[in-house]
Amino acid sequence: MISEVPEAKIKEAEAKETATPGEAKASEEKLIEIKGLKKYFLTKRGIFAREMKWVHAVDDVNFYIRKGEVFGLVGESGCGKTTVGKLILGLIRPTAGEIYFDGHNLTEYNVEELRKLRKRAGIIYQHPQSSLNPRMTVHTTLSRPMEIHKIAEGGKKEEIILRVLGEVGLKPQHLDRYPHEFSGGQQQRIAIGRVLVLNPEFVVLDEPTSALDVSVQAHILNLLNELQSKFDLTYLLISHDLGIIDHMSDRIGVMYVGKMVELADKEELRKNALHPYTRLLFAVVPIVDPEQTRKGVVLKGEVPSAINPPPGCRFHPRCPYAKPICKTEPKFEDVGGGHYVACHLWRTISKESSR
Amino acid sequence: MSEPLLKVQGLKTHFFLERGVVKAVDGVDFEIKKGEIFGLVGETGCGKSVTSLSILRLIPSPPGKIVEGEVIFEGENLLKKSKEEMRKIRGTKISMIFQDPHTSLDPVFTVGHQIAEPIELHQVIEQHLISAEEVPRKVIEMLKLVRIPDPEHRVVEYPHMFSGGMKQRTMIAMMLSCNPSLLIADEPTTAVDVTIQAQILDLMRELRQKLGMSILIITHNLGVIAEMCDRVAVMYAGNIVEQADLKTLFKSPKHPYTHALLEAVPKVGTKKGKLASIPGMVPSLITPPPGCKFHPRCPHAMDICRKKFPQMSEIEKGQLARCFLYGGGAKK
Repeated sequence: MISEVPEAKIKEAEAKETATPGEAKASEEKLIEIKGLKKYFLTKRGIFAREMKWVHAVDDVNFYIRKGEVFGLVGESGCGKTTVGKLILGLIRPTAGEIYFDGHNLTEYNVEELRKLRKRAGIIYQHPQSSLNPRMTVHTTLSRPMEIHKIAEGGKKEEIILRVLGEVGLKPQHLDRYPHEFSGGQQQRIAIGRVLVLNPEFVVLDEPTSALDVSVQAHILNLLNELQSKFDLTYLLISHDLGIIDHMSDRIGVMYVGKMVELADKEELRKNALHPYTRLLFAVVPIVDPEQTRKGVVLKGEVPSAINPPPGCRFHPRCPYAKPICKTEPKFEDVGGGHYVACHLWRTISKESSR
Repeated sequence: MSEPLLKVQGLKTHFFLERGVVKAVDGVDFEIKKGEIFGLVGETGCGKSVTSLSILRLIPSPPGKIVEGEVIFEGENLLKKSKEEMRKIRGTKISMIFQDPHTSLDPVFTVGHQIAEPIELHQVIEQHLISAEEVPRKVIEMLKLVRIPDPEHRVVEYPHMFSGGMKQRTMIAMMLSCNPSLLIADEPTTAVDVTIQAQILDLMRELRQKLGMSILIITHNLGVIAEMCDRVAVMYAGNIVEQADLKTLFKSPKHPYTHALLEAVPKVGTKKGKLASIPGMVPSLITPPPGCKFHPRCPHAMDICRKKFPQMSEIEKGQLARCFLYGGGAKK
């Protein structure tokens, strides 16, 4: 263990030297802060079901996003990561909790104020095919947001459109075409352009490349990285793919069935993950290198339903370390250095594994 | 080395559409040995799924047609079999798992009923291997094999009561019920979460050990390939461009496309920065570029690449690549 420390430090120093501008810019200033955020959805199951049930999509989540950073939110389907993204943009209203955007509490905003917020905060969805209007040409798609927010008109508007088009790697002759005439990667570029014309500060990237092939995915991720440093953007990157999250983010939050179970700097999380679920997640990702084998123990069981989540720590039915105490709610506690974890047993677990 | 279990030679499957002929598979050769896990990897539209459907003769016709080639399975050419003979082979000797377990199971029949169907058809009626009374016992045995908890009770449940991972395991149980010698898995874990993916992959590997079958895995996920396969073929625009054993392919990829593909995957533990990406787009399969189909995107493209279609040539033992950088013009 001791011999590893200097090596890690060297690597850290190396990382700093070659850091991209976007990475260095992240400041301590909080752009977004979330306190006790909850969102429950009401659901009816089955055709004849009279019983209404609550889906605990997001259940008491706390975190903040610094200005200029990429915050990665990772988790499996149904863990509530997309709901968090939508809540931050005011696209859906929370059941409880507070969301601060640049110091203002969004949850108190009325419809008009929320609309104004969307000039400063945009979203890019997973499927460009369904998030672009099929009846709008690229030109209309890019100019409509500026008309709605009264940003620019006439010649100035055209100027912005052409500039943004260049930034996202499209050509002026594409302007009169419709979305179906483009490939998936190009469609995603249009969707990125639609957000950029408003010159936002904050963008939610909700699985931006899940619908794309590996080689196209690389194009889009590179583009998003470039744009971030060029326009001082802050990203909330939502993905189930730990590879993408790890590649893009500065800090990472791990969600499991509506709860945030761990949050830390990327490097810290990779080297020193404390929550058993985070460890599992890192362990089960297939490694693109046949020389290394997946070290992970494969856990039995499946992700529980968010309708009747297990009491206490939601991971305890699958957790190999679970003790009776885990049936009570763990605190999301600071273990130092901005590393947070929601686990009763993290101290004993980290000791056991470092032995 | 013994005779391969499956040998695909010069397979060409084209789709005849109004706007032209789509050459989805345009000359594919590979072999799968007994007990081997063979991976076919490539991006959307490269022809990997069409290849697997061609092996089972499941290409919708019209518009699709296998225009050339041979599929030799256990010494016999499947492309020469009658429809009736093919029906007997599917399920008993070769079976297939599809990507989406939610749509591959029939929602109006119980899980047990659906697993029982191929057993009744093939093993009871056709081969008289077991009697009809034994079928329920066999169904539960299969569910146990794929580790569905409490199989005696789950067997009467409907697919919607199963989670995604359990549905995919049910599919595997159904496919294995008649002891096939080849299992084709087309993107078997694309629709499930990573923790479930790990369970499914472990299960498949374990079953290969136990039952000694061969598996053909088709996927776009290089991580799945790295974890599972013995040998791998990389497809691009209807052709195999490189083929090698797993370690060689990942350690010293020869074809520029394989190289680029491996570089483009974001991996855990790499530094933030630019990902290597492949310029341009996948070519049209109706009017592919002349010469090597990858040349418009290739950083090493030479004059000859624009004019001649490269042949597969052996670079090292067991490693083949279709590229002029490695003497791809052996057959001039």
